[in-house]
Amino acid sequence: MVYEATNQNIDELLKTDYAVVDFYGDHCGACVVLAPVYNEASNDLAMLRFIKANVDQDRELGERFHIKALPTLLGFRNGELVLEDGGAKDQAALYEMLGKLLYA
Amino acid sequence: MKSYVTKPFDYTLIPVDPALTLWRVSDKELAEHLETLSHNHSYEAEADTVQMGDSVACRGESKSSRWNRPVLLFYPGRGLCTKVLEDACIGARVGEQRSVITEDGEITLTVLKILRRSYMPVGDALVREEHIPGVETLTAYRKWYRESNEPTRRLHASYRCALQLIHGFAAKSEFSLDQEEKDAWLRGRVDSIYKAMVDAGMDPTIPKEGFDFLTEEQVKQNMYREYEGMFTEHVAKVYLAETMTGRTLSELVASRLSALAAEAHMTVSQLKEQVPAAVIEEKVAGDVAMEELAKTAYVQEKLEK
Repeated sequence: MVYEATNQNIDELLKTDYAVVDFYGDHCGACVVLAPVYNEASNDLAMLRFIKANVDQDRELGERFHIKALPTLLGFRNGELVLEDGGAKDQAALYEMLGKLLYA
Repeated sequence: MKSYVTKPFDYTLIPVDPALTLWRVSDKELAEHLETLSHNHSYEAEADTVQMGDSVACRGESKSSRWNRPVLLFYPGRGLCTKVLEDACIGARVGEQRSVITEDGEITLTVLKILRRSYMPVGDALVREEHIPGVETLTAYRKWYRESNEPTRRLHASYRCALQLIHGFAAKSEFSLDQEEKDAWLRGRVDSIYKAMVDAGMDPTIPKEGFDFLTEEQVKQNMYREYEGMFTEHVAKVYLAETMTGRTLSELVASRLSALAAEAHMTVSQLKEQVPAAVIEEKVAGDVAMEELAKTAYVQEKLEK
């Protein structure tokens, strides 16, 4: 399951041991490539919170996290930003990034 | 328009790549879609003993701060970390401890929670979870999925074929090109793109090769040469749009302005103020040529194969 974040609820969503946020946009081709891979990972990896944030619909959210390119993936541990990544990914590349979030 | 087509090529002689004509939902695609649905309706339940494919939360104790954490998550079989660590808890029960030796030293893992995912099997019950009115069985879902997706796909396939025909028509027809008109059209395009690049924070004067920065004029000359073929294609589109509808480009633009403005979330006045007339004309000519060619018997026959 992937949670949809807004500027109003993201702080609450990040109150967890491990979370990853996919910042995406309405007209972003690479975001379309990443979406099903991200969705499938959220079904596969329990207890890691998968969140997505549409920065075209919620510009404040994108500005708050200084999002310059899409898709951007941010990794959080206990609400603290520890990792930044981005770009279209296949499962192997996404799992490599999540490995860094969990174990680096 | 001063430039025009002197000898139009017969578009029905232009071959269409079969890959562009595909629109039907295949059995393979449907099977993959149903598999994804099954995964989306999966659920987690707590398990007694760690197995491959489970999600495991452990408390980590180690001299290394990297592994000394109240919660570490492991996913046996997924390759997110080394196999030694990932498989360390296999067979363990909640509360049990396992020790692992790694390059960071000894790590003691205490299993806190084990979650196992169960997937809803593909069948009538899964389909009912989608709550689609009138769709209660797998057979009905397959029919519904095709009916929901195929019409739009067929339309997009017809547009893809039409675009290939436009390229072929532009390449094989003969034209009389007015040099002044061509220069003005290309300059307008080059100036817009150059400005857009600068506004986006790019520096177009940085060369693709070498170290000598280009001047603005050199950049624009390069872009002019790169886009030259587009003017011919534009003349081709205008010809096709006007010939196939029996209307002039001005009439076509006038009839589509409201829709174009709505698409850009603007009023018609705002659109006319902010978008150069040449850009609007280019878009309308391209859209109309594509739509008209897409409807032709030639293209529709290709889609039936």
